[in-house]
Amino acid sequence: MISYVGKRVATAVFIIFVVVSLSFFMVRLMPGNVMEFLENQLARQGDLTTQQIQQQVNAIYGVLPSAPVWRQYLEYIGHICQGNFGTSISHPGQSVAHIIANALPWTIFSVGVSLIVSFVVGIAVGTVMAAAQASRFTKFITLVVSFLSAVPNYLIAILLIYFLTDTHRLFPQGGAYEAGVPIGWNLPFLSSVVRHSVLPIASYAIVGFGGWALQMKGSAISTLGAEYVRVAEARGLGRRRIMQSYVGRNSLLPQVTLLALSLGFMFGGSVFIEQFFNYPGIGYYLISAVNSRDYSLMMGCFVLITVSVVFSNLIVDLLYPLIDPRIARPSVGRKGRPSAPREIEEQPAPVGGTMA
Amino acid sequence: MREFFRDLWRILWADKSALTGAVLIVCYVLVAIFGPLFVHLSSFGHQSAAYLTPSWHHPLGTDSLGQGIATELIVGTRPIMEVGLLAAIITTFVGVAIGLLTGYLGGWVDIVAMRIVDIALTIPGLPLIIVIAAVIHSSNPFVLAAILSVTGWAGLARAVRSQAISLRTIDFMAAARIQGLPLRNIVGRQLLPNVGPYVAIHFLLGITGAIYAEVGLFLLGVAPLSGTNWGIMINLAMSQGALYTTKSMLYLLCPMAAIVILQVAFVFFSRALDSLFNPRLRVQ
Amino acid sequence: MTVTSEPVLSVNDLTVAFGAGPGAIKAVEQVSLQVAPGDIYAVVGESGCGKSTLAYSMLDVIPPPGRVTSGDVQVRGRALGSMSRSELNQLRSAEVSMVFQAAMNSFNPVTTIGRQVEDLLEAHNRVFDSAASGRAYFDELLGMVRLPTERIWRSYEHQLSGGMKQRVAIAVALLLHPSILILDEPTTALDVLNQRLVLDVLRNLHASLGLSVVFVTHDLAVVAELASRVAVMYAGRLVESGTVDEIFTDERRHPYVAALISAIPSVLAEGLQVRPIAGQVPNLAELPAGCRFAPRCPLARAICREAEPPLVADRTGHAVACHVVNEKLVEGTVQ
Repeated sequence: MISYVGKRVATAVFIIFVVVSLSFFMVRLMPGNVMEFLENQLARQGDLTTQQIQQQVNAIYGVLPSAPVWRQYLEYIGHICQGNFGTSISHPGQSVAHIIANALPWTIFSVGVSLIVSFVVGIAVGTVMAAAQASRFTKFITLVVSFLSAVPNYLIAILLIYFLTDTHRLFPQGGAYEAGVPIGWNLPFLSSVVRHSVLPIASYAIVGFGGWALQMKGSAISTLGAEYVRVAEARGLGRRRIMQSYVGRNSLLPQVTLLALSLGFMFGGSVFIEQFFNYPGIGYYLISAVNSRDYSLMMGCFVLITVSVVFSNLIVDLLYPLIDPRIARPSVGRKGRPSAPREIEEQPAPVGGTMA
Repeated sequence: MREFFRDLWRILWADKSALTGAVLIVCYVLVAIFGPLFVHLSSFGHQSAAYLTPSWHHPLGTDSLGQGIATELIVGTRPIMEVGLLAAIITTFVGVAIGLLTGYLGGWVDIVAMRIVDIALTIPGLPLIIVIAAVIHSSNPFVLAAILSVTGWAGLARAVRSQAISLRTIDFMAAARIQGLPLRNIVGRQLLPNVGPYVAIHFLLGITGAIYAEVGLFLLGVAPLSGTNWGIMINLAMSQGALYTTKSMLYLLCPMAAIVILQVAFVFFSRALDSLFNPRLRVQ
Repeated sequence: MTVTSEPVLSVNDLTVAFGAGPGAIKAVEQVSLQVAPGDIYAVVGESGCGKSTLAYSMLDVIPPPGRVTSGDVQVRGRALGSMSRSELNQLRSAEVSMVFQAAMNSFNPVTTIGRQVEDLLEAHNRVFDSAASGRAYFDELLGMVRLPTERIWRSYEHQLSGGMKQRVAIAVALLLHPSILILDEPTTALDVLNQRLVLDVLRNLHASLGLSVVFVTHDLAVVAELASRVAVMYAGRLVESGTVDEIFTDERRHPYVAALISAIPSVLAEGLQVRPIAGQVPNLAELPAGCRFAPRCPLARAICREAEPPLVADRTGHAVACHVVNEKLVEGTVQ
């Protein structure tokens, strides 16, 4: 058990380290060395000493351009560990960390709620589909769901905006909350937040729930056919008990392993959804940084998105042994190595998920 | 081989949605290849002809510059499908190659490769693609395809690897090795046919994934807006306020429909392949 | 020895079919047998002959799409088909209990054995006064199957070996004091040592608890050792039934049974002679007309290919379904 936890944490840390290093080298390898570019720009302004120019660049990129590469690298890592991602060019004066700290909660909120909604709805629909396999309802839903899963989530977002905001004024056009509303734990603010989040969450969820429904249907059907279910019937256990303890949990378990995959996909999708809804999350700032060539902000956002995904994966991995007793206790006689959630059964990824 | 196509035909005939999907895909491919030969985008638009309603001359109306939307759709098919296909080819090739090699060779090659696969699987692909595409601002289809493939190969590599490992220990592999068959033969005759179905389906879904990411890149303006394709069309439509008016509705919705129809066609067709390779799923 | 006391379980002209319409496959066709109290009844046959389906029908747990299309199963005179769902649930495990083949997948993988036993006690909460007394009896049963009580209660199924799971399954099946225990291939998936253990355990339980046992198997050696009565099935039909002595030693015997017995290699004979039965079990979807064993039977005659032989019993109740063998009986040659 300890080795399981340790291994997961070590892998997570390793991946974050790789991503951070990646971001360092990407900035330097980019065509037109951006730091040099900035240096020249500042030099052309004419009124700064070389020393001051270096310091400016350092403040923005967290790196002293004149130092040798390996020294820059270590400094960079050091800065990151302290939470210093440099300063933003497009939002002058604000540190990248500050921007990200304000943006991250919105992304986590919208992605998190969307995941819960699509998971719950999908599981429920999938269970119904498994219980009534041959019914017209099931066939209809299967068709609908296959269709929806093929539609890119950004197109759903655009459609929602088009039909539900301006022309019909059902929902606000963008932003996370109504401008002018005092921020804080008060009702006007909270209700405004909720109102503004409905469409973005719908964009994620409409496309997302289908995958869960189909997976759950398959899983439930195969569990229903498992021998221990028939044995439970042969023992005279009631329908309810069988569905809850025997079928429910066993068909739910494989879905949990997919949570991790889904999270990565949803965070990726956030760059689109937040852009179109002007929703000030990390995805939004990533795109705005890209468009304004603000490389320090861009890298900061990218690193944070990855860290969020890695972190949530880790949480899922750590929680998994709590629901599946087979992981924590190695079996007798067979290879006692506990297998991590993601190493079990590869399921086909959702459309768009193989790349993104 | 012939059996395969006969089976495929039978399944397509039974599952009408899959058949529709297959037909649609073929149509799109034909349009992509031959379309630009028949229709031409005029180099200059007429401002006065902007946002016309559908007519015989322009079956889907015109865009903000007076260009025919239908024409743009047709011309825009090729770049999208080209890149999608290329990206799928790259991911499939890389994924299978790495999976086979690591699965069969094992040892430290395997360990190192698996670490890389883990990373590629965990890092969210789309943000990475956006970042790289933003930096390498190129519209060359090969470059674009390569960028889109940066993390997509990993899932396939892992699946192929586990197949390779399990096959490595299966009896007939041992038998083949005892017979002294060369590696080429073992890989070609034993491994590939077992792994084939999974690869084929991954390839199809890879195309859809690539199209999803690619159109997304154009939508966000991260990839350069040169030439015309569906993503660029939606991008331009939105930047010219299509969301707030109904007169440019066709300009906005037509490329979206084109994308959705193609993606759905792929998904339905892949279901036929799925039941082809997995007879237990077949709807009798 | 004919059955004089009322049978504790009787199968009456039972037919179980899979699928519908003319293409339906009858896994069990017009099978009748009676289990007397205290019997150890063996149902023998090759894979696919319908014996497992027959066993499932005794509890009404035939896996869909199979279903009873004619005849019925009666437990102490009550037909299963006429019971409501709750009555059936009360019957299952409390009057008639079953141990599935290999018991490898008989337990829910994500809850402990103890939890599953509690589920069982809860579903039948009138059998014991309290959960504690239920638990106490379970411990006693575990002792009788020679398993450590505390450890088993807290284990998950993947932590137990195949042989252990089989014995736990037997203990669980006996928990509610059923009068009939049905076992599907109790020794098949086990190694020799565990087989011996399970057979000993079954014999002890039968003696001390006064159970009636029905077990399904293809292993004649187990039949010879454990059973008191035997029924032999072939391709869905019952071809012979009688006491274990009659089956093994009587001269009047179904050719299939004769072939099965002679196919057993003898350790004592010189050299190893394996005498398999020629041919294959017929495909249930394409049954030959007439006697189903005719294509492989050394005694087959014209009438065998035309009409299905009826089950005919002699004075002692030993029944065989074979035109040729019964001919002598009908003519009065064999008593």
